[in-house]
This record gives sequence, structure tokens and C-alpha cells, in this order.
Amino acid sequence: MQQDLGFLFVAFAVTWLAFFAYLFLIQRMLVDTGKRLRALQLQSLSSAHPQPQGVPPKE
Amino acid sequence: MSLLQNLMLKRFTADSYPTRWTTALAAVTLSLGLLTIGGAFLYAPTDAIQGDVQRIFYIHAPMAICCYLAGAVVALAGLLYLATRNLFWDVIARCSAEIAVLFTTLVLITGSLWGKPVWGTWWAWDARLTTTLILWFIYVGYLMLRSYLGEAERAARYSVLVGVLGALDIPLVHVSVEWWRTLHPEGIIDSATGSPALPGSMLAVFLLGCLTMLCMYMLLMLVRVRLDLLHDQVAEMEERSLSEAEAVALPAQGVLGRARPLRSPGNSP
Repeated sequence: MQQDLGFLFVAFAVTWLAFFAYLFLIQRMLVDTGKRLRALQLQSLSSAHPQPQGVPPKE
Repeated sequence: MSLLQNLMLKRFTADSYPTRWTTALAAVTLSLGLLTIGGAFLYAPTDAIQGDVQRIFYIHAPMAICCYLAGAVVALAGLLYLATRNLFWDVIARCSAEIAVLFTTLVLITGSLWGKPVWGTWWAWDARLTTTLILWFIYVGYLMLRSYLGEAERAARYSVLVGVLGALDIPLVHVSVEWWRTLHPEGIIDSATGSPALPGSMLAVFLLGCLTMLCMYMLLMLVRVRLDLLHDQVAEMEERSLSEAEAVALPAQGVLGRARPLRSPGNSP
């Protein structure tokens, strides 16, 4: 009986942990990809509007 | 780019992740999940023959149904890609295939955990189990094929075939318990009467479990599709910046080439 309950708890725990782990991984990848995208957007913006020669960039 | 794709990209790249919809769906899924666990442990009656371990049914069977759904989406989105050549459908298909692998894996694991105390074995080469394992291999194969093929349009074209193969296996998985003599119990709909073969309280928790898994599938799809669309956007921008850098570098190389004498490897001292 107790062994049966063990199987039951493990089944529920494995299922929900797998879902949370998958969501966590995807969320981490989303954040990283979002950062990469923003960096690329900034890079393309700065190359499209270069600073004039001789004028120091604003801090 | 389709309207839906535009909407999703716009919503995501607005620097507002997790978006309101994703958060709301996550909250609904979590609440339904807690209700299902509560219903399975506290509300549903204990099975007279199998005892408490039968409660695995309330997550095992709904996940199997979502696995069918994910497989159907893979095939349907793949066929839509072939019809329209819109890569958005391919994104839907490959994301659904990944989630189908997750659901099928969990179905096999929870099935084994249920089988050990009830049948006395973790695994049997039973028709239902074997066809489900074949389904798992088909979707793993789908993902492997895509990663080997690399180039997006070629991978999309060839993988449709594997997606359709998976969809053809789904009805076979479903009817396997009727066609062959198996250890696995038959479906919850009585084939003779066409009515549910479960008492009302068990059926209610089962339907709640189905709703939970459906919401989970939608939530996973929502975040996974966004990730793929974002990856595509990053790849596109990287390609553009690389071609711009090459366009700037080429004239400079030409100047350097004239300034420095050409030296072949054989003439090097």
C-alpha cells in the first residue's frame, strides 16, 4: 500500500517537475535571446547613425 | 509574414516578457493543476481493484490525449506549410513536435510507474505500449531529422513526411487496445454503449485533468513558438549585419590587395 503511494507521488512529482523544468529552460533561453536581439538592434542603430567625426560621444 | 506572426513578434519584442497572456495562462494552468491534484487525491474515490495507484490515471490519460493533439498539430501545421509555404506553420509544427516528445515521454514514464505495482513489471511489449513507444521514436526522429537537415526550407519540407507518419500512428495507438489482446485497460468510452465507463466523480477529475493538460500544452506552445520566432529574428539580424560588415570590408581588402604583393604558398621563404 505504502509502496503504491510512493509510485503515485513519484508519477505526479516527475510530471510537474518536467513541465516546470521545460518552462524554466525556455524562459531562460527567451531572456538570453531577447538580450541578444536588443544588442543587435542597438548595434544596427549605432551603425545607421554614426557619431560625427571629432565630436566625442555623449556619456 | 502573416498577421499572427507579426502580432506575436510585436508582442514579444516589446521587451515585456512574460506577457500578460502568458502569465494569465500560466496562472490558470497552475490553478487547474492544483485542482486536479486535489481532485485526484481527495475527491475521486479509490479504485476497488488497483487501490490508490490508479490515481495516476488522472494525469496519465490526459497527457496521452494531449500527445495525440500535439501530433495532430505537427501534421496539420506541416501540411499547411506545404500548401502556403509560410514558414510560420513550420515553426508551429516543430514546436509542437518538441512538446509531443515531452508529453509522450511523460506518458511512458507515468505508465511504467503505474504498471510496476499493477502488472508487476515496468514494461511489457504490449500493443498500446509498443505503438506509443513507436510514436515517441517518430517525434524524436522528426527533431533529429530537422537538426541534420539544417537549412530551414529543406528541413520543413522533409519533416512534413515524418509528421504525417506520426499522425498515422496516433489512431493505431488509440485502437490498439481493441485490435489486439493487451495488458493495458481499454479506453474510458465503452465501445459497446458509447458512454463513459467511469463513475461521475472519476470522470469529473479526469475531465479536469484534460483541461489542465490542454492549458499546459497551449502555454508550452506559446512560449516555445515565441522563442523560435525570436531566434529567427536574431538570425536574420545577424545575417544582415554580417553582410553589411562584408560590404564595408571588401573595398578595404581591395586597397590592401593592391598595396601588398601577392604571394603564393609555394613562393614563401
